[in-house]
Amino acid sequence: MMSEFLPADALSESRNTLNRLREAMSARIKGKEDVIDQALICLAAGGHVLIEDLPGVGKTTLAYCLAKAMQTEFKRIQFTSDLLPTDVTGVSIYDERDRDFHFKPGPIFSNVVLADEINRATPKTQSSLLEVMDHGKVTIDGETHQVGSPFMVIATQNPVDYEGTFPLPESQMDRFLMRLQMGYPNPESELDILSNGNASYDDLVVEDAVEPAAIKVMQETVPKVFIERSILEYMLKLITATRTESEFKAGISVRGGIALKTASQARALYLGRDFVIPEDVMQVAQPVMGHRINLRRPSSDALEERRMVKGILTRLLAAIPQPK
Amino acid sequence: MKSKSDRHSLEDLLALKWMLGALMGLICITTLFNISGHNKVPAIVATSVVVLALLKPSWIARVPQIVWKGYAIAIIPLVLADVLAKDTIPALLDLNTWLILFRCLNHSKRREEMQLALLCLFLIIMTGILTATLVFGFQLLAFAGVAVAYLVINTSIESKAEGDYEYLESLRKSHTPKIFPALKSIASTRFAFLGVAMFASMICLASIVFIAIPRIDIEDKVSLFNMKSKQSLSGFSDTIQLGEVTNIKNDESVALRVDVPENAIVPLTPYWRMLALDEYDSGSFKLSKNLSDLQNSPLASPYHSVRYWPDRRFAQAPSDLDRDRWTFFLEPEVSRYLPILGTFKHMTVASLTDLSIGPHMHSIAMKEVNTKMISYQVEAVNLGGTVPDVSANSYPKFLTESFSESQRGNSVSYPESLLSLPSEKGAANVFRRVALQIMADRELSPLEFSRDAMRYLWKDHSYSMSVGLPKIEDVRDPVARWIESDLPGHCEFFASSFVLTARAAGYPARVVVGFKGGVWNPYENYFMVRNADAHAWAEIYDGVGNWIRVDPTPGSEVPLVTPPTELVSDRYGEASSSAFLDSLRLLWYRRIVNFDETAQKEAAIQLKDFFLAYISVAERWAKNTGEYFYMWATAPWSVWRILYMVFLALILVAAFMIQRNMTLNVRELLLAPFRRGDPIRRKASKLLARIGEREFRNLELRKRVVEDLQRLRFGSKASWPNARLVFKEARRLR
Repeated sequence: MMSEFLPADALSESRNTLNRLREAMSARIKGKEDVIDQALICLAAGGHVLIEDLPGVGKTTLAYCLAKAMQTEFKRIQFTSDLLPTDVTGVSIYDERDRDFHFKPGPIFSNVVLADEINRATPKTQSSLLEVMDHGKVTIDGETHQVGSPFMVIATQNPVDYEGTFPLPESQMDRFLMRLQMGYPNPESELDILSNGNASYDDLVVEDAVEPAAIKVMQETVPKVFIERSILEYMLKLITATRTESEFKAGISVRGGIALKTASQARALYLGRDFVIPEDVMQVAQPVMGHRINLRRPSSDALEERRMVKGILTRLLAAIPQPK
Repeated sequence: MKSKSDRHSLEDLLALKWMLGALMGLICITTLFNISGHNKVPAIVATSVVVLALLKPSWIARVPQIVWKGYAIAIIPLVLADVLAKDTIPALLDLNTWLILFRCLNHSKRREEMQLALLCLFLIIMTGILTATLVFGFQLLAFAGVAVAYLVINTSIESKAEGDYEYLESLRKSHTPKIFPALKSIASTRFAFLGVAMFASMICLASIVFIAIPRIDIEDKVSLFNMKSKQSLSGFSDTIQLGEVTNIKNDESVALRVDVPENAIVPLTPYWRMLALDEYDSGSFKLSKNLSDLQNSPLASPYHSVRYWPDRRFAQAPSDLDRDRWTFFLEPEVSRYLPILGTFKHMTVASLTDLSIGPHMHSIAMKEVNTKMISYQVEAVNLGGTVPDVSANSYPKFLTESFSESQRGNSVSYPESLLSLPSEKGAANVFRRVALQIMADRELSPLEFSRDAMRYLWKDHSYSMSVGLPKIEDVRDPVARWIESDLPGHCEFFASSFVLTARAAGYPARVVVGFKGGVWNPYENYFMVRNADAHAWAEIYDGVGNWIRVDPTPGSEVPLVTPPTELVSDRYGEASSSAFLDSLRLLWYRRIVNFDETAQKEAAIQLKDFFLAYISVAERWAKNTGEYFYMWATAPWSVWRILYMVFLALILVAAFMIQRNMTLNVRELLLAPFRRGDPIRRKASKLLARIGEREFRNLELRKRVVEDLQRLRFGSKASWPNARLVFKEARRLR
């Protein structure tokens, strides 16, 4: 850990990349700076995002803008109950002329993939995303295909309308680095949107902010952000506290712990620091841990459940002393 | 600035408060065990309940409210019955115990906390008046500490909750006190130091007040507190059955402590004489009727008796003469007779009205067996083996007869009793025969007779604690049966046999009981006399006005008019841990309980001298330093001297600058090995916290400094800026 030293130029380069992305995106998405920040932190950490909110608050626009600002490909998969895994990953088709199977890549072979209403698909289809989210690879008929680089899945789901849905299994949930809420924009921003809003995101003009290669550099920089031992101990205390909390069925997994660390590092980098401070951990703790926790006594109302988890996490965060 | 107590949660403080309250109640209730003669059942019950509650607070929390309400109501008939059955004081103590038990497990409101504190205080004061043991002293100290801590915790809860009592109440209801985590949360060196300092200053203040306030004897002023002892344990009374003294020998506890003056001469084997008995009746010696009547009459008061027992004084203050003073500390419930070494010139007691004096038997008794430790002082002690006789007719006949006439009966009265033999003919003949055998047609002085009689007794009998008596036809008297046999016996058999034989030979004799010997305690230089040292011996009249001590028990010294003595400094003592503990008790008696006005003055003067000595030392130092500076300033200035001074000043300034500009100052460098983590990271963290607490004008500089400090605190070492410069900047930040 000590040996990894982050050179100053790598730091400033990554910071520039993030700043440019942020500027480009916030020019198009009004009044949602905090969500953009978190989405960019996720991008830097190389993680995937689950956005949970009502339809029509700009989830798709966010994903589209991100892809365009990075000058990468954007694909959208609308998840429905009859969607098959091959509809996501692609399929090998027999070609009469060559007398051979040809792989026809699915929409997942892209850079930014929007998995819209992911909980409407069957678990089988949902889990077809597991491998690609973990390793950026798809294996079909024993053949492994690399997806685009950078690669980021932005999944959305509607927390209110749960009729006929398949809630994501915990293993799937664990693969998302963060769960974000969009929320409505503030009145000024909304007035702005109303006055010159575009009906379709395809019509949005997004400035080309960075090269895809710069994203790669940035993602390689994040693990080099320094974490002092006392902060690692602080993270461990947080994670252990979720495991011993009586209201929780299960606490944060080891993967979740690593996610917390990576997200903290990404936030430090995002703010132009080459080391993590306790504030970073505090800020990313809620979005990183919130969706990885199940209550021992589940509530019938999903929103209520979110609120309870959030409340308990807030209490834990307040109770555990930060390293000074 | 944020207070440190913010680190302790309200839950922790509440748990601590609960624990301290229970502890306070526990200490108070345990003081009841010091009161002898008080019914211990309520105290035992209450103690066990509170201890249980302290060990398992959750059990108490589970008790439904209705039980406590029922308990509160049940106290009323319980106490009513108590009041009817007992005196006021024991009933009051019991009532207080039950109330404290209730309150120390249920105290949440401000009013209830005050109730608990007052109840505890009341009980402590009551037991303090009724007892004065060393254990009580420790309990009082503990109580003072716990009570102060309790009040401090209460205040800090008050300030932390900011008057939100409903919230406090709900918090109290929803949380069972977790004592150990709460204790852990306050366990810090800072807290320990603070606590110890507060406690020590409290003790200092209390001792100064103790030395300064005027003495009052509260027992004399408040007759309410004269609690009577219910059971009498004493083995030493007016009547002594054979074996009674030996029974006491099983008790290893200390009965008497005798504080001996420095460089005094002490007897090799001290005999602590308590009472002498004259009348014998089939196995038991007792004080003859007319003497015991006299002793219970107003004539026995010290004011009257000195008229017939000249050369002796009884007073409530020591005499002005420069004489050896022996101080006796007699434990409660040993006897109402005061042990004395022999004869003396002056006796100091706390209250003369409590004494009754029997000059004939050379005994001094209290009206009742003491329930508290009592102390008395004796001056000019005579270490000889004799006590003077007071002739029976020295009291006017008309005074003595009026007390004894009513029950003259067939019993022999003093002084005839000094020569009386068993009323049983056969038994009397046994002693006469033995006496003839010893005398063998000689004219013997009492001392010579005693030696011969002892030799006679020792020939057939050895010492043993247990005795089995043989059956002899026609003789029922146990002493006669024993002397005829060749069985071993205990001291009472030897003493009784000797006395009766001497009487048969025509020498007036009597039995004496008391203590023999005692362990010398080298820690505080005093005699520890245990109940196991109880002994019986004899006294024989020498015909010229003295009673000579004769100890006929095997292994004793031969009777002498001047028995051997030695210097205190030569005495070999028992230096064990129990002796050390016992010496603490004597210190407590000597310095606290028995603290009269003279001693008070002495202590105050010593204290004053101590401070004056320190002040004079400080004064001298200040004067010397001043003189030195004056000399230094007025000495002629040469170039070299000026250069030398400038050089010195430069070195000092340089040292200061270097110290200040080092990354870590000297203190931090010294402490670094004892602390966890990197010292630079620690210092950065400290400065960060300090900057966070204050407001600054130069916000831009502040931001930069905070960034640098954060890098020092959390950043990689390879990327550290110059720590020294950052710290310097942080210090200069305004």
